[in-house]
Amino acid sequence: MTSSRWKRIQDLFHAALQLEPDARPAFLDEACADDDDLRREIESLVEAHGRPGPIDDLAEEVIDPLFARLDDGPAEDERVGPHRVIRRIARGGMGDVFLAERDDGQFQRRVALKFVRIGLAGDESLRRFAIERQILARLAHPNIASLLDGGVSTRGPYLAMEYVEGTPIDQYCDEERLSVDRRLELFCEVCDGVQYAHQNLVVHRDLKPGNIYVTREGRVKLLDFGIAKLLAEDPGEEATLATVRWMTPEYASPEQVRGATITTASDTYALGVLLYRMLTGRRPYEIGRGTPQEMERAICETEPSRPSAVVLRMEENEAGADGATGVTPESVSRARATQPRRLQRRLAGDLDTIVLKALRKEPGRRYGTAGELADDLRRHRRGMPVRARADTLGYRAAKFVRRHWIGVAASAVIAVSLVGGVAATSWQASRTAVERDRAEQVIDFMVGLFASANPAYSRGDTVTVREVLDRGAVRVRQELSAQPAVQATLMEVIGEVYASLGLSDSAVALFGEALTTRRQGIGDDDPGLTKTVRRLAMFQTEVGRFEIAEPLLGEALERLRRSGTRGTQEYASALTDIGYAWQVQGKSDLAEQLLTEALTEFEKLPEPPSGMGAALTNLGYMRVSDADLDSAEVLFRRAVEVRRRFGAEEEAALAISLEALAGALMRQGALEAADSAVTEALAIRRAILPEGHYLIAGSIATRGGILRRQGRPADAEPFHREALAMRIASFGEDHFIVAYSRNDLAITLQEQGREAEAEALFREAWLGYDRYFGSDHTNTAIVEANLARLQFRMGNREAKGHFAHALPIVRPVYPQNLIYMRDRVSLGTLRCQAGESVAVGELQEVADELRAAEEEDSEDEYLETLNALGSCLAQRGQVDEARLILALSLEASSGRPDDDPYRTFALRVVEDLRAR
Amino acid sequence: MNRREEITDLLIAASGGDRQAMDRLIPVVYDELRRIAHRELAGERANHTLNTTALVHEAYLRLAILDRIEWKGRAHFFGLAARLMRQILVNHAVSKRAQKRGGAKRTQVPLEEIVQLPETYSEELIALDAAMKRLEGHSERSTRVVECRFFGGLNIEETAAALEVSPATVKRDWEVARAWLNRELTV
Repeated sequence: MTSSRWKRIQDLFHAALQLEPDARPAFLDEACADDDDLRREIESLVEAHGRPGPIDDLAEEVIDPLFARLDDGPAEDERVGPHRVIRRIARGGMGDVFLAERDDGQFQRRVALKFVRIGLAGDESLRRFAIERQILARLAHPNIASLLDGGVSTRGPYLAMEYVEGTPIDQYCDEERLSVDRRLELFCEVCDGVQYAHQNLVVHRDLKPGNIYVTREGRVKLLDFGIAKLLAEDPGEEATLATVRWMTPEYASPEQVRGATITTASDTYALGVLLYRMLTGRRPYEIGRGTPQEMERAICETEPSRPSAVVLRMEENEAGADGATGVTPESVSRARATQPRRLQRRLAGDLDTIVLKALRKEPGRRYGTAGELADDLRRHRRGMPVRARADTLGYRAAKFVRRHWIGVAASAVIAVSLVGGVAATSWQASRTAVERDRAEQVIDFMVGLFASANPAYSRGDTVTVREVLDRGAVRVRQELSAQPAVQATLMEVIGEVYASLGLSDSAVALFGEALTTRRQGIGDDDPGLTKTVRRLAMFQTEVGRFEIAEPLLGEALERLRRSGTRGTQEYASALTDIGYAWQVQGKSDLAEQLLTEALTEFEKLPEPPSGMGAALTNLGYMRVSDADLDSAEVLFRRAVEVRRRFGAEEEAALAISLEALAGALMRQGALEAADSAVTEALAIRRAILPEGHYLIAGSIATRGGILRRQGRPADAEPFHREALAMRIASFGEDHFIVAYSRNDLAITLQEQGREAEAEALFREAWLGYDRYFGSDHTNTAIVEANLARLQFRMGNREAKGHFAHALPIVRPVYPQNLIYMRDRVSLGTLRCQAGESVAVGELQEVADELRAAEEEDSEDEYLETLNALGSCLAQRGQVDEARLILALSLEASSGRPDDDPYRTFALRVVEDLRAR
Repeated sequence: MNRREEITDLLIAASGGDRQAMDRLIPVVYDELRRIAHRELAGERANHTLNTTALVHEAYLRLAILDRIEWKGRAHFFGLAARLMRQILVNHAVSKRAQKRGGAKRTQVPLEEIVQLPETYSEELIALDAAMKRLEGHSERSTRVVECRFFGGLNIEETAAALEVSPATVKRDWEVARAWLNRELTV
């Protein structure tokens, strides 16, 4: 309740305060008119406002000390859990740190105590605190200060950490005058600790020298791992500038200041800043003390100078910025036991490249993990070529893709379709308390089923898993119709096993029945439907019935969103399922959206489950489709890492990611690395999968692809033939995977010069794609172009029609691909021969594009285009234009020998023209 | 319903503005505070001073089934804690004065062991409490703002969240209430 008079008092009080003191009497004269009480009231309040009074004394003497004691943390000798506080050792943005002693009569140990602020997000903080504490307690590494204990005291939650006595790493390096080499060695130790934590999916988020100590024994100790996340008040806000304020902005990555997702790559960035500092004694860029926006701009946009360049630079304000006695080339090199020139030479090359790669603005273009960064530094120290050339390697890979004549998307799509089979979440994962009884019944049933497969019960015959399942399916249908929920669940269990055996049709059939059972027997609101619909949609997609799958996928997503399971691993896995299905169907936008969301959801989980491997792998395939092989490789490697952690239970999935990695490496031209990855995948698959399994076929096909790329098409051929045969056996003639396999085999045949056999296979492959994706799908067009290209070489007239259909579809997807550029020249030539006037314009267009690209390595294509255009103009009787174009061609090839085929061709046409 | 659940219901109701629930809650929290204090002080030095806010906080933590309190409820909750602080401190000051005059028994001073108030300020706290009661007659909201800012240690934004008003309103209320109380206490 607020009285109207009080309101008037309050309004006039504030209005008066707005005015200069001189102007107040006049204002009050008017405002209060004849109400003297009111006037006295306002005047006394304004007066009281201007000076401290009893309230302020009380606050200062009574209340503030009370709160200060809270903020100040425990007093000396105070007990916190089993610890006794000794003294405060640090004040920090995230709270103070106290040295304490554990003293419970059994053993004594010094610890560092940290308190966690609770604030308004109280209970949520406490819950996260408990979860994070468990994760952190499991981190055990010699370079990480361990979390010993924690709990909730009268002062709120606290953590007891290993107490580290030592010196911050940058200070240590300078004090000890460590050489660049010794610094790198120490830095690699830092990376080892960070990598270990990354493998356990803990991101530090606040790496900086103040958190990285070197002990008296010279050992690196990382402090406060994962604490930043733990202390961030509101998980939803953890990454914004507002919460970054306690971070040292110098070490914050662009994604951290922008509030984007924080990943292991954010730590890699901070490590990059640290390495920069350790090597050069300077910051990669000046951040200054501007507004948050200015700081953000500095971090997100300023490109750091090369370390080797910066160590020779005199900077006028360095002394001020560091508060030190000036950073000069001499002082920096002296601290590194060397001279400026030497230091400059030491840093130039590898170290420049490595540091700058770690500092790239886009997380995906950095080292994905600290391990990769350390790896490169170690390679450098051993004199081996470093991987940070990846910028140029990636560049070369892009060229490789441009050169390579099998469309990338075709291989990506097929590889994708192999992920889902095993990426599936197990049915147990979604078991809830409500379903427990039913689950028990299901388990009993399955146990009974497999017991019957025991030779002792089945008259000594050997029974295959498949027979057991078939028998089980029959029994489920016959015996359980009175219990629809149990019946449907069992159908799904058996269906999943069928699917993992590669028996997709049986899986589809059982899931279809389960769906009907749930809808009719239980009703449309059966929560079990969420999963049934989704899995059926996935299997339908896998067997290629897109039109059936499509509406199911829509329904699956809608049910999932309504299920209220957001924040669980099942939710993230379900998103992955749906994204994957869209991916297989070629709906990249939908797939990208869902898979990215899935990954974000996984990253939010305290401990990423194996399902995260599926999201990473599928996203990796999306990057492969974009020809962004660097990013794909990073994602695949992360997937391999996640899955390796799960050992035998995730071997099958591990093989998928290894296979994917092999594919990406192969396309980057890293054939040996690719071969070792696929060999591991193949070995796993042969060990755990039944003979003839389609996934084994996948690995065999990948090996074939690698051999072919090593220039050994004859060696590759038997692999591709074996894969094709296995795939026909698994999927039947009509599956697009078979068409894909035929395309592969056709290429090896064409490369061996067996054109007639190759043409027949390309044609079959194209028809297969056509049936699957429709004739206007990119993948179909890629294969059609393959067919047309061969036909063009063979002089087959069908080439023109196929080119004319395929190229407009492929071109916007691969605008830079030289293979398709050449194909357009071939089509122009064919059209010209057929007297189609459109040919001239088309050839002109190709020539313009190639000239604009100004790529040295596309000179052949440029010459070929000019020659085709010249001879086309000549045929059409446009002699002057023809001469001009051919002169251009001859000028462009003037550096080549006279017997160069492009030169010879141009000279011959010019000669013909002259003869007319 | 067990005791914890019962208390949580009271907390939720009190956070939502139910005065009866608040009245029933205070003795419960008092009890809890006393139990914590006795436990904490057992076997420790006599001059040991525990932090009242921390105690209040812990009492809530132990009492409430926090999962059941929504975020908004939780903001109210801090307003509630601030009111409780006011009660605790003022009661303490009152009993201290009574003690000095030789009247009250120790058992009526539940937090005697916990809060150690500089003696001279007891009277001022009591006067402040009385002034706040008068202020409440003019503007209840301003009184709540003073409670949150002064007794709860909340900043402008936190107070705004606790009382579900805008930070600008909190600032205006606080300015005028502070001036008003200072004047009342000086006169």
